[in-house]
Amino acid sequence: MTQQQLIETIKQHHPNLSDTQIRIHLNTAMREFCRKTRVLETLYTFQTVAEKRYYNLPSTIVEIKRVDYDNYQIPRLVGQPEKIDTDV
Amino acid sequence: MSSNERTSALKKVYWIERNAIAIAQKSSSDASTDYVSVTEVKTVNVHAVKTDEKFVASGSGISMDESSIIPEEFHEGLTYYVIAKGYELKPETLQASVFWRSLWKEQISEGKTYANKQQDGSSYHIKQHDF
Repeated sequence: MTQQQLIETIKQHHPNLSDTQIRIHLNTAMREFCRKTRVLETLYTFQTVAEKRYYNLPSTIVEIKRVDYDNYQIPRLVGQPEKIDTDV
Repeated sequence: MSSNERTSALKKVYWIERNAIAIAQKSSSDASTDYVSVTEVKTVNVHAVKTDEKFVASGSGISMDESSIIPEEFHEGLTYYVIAKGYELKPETLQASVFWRSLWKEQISEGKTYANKQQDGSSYHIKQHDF
């Protein structure tokens, strides 16, 4: 269904809701559905840069399942390193 | 791939902080506690769960005549959430809100089942171990 069709379906029940209000709720529903069901998976790839520690993630990523470095799976650090930096 | 590359890669760790992913390696001076930034250019693959783009009136996102990339059988389910929200606005329609909210929860449940099924129809299972 297109966004237009979704809005028309909702307006059969709530004709007074504006398109903007409906769109806000649809976006909340979409994020909740994807986060809870984990139905959409993706592979995000980037290159490391020498001496750079932090790399921004796309805002569409809601959960990281696994990370590979040079095609080898690497572990998630438990806790935080003693020395941190704030370059992100 | 050489064993050196393997050894080097397996010294790396990651963690998530402030919406960013940190990649670091154990320091050669104190491998137990200290981590330093990597010094080489390598590929990092992040296997992740994502959400779709946002619905928008115009600009970047799902436009009025486009559809979400979630499986088509769940498209109508998104409307259940919004319909329930609409009925929550008036005290006299709260009962209707509960009904539509239950349909929404059902969609979430079916979505989890869908995501757990592989393309061949097999389900996710936990491998057992002897201790």
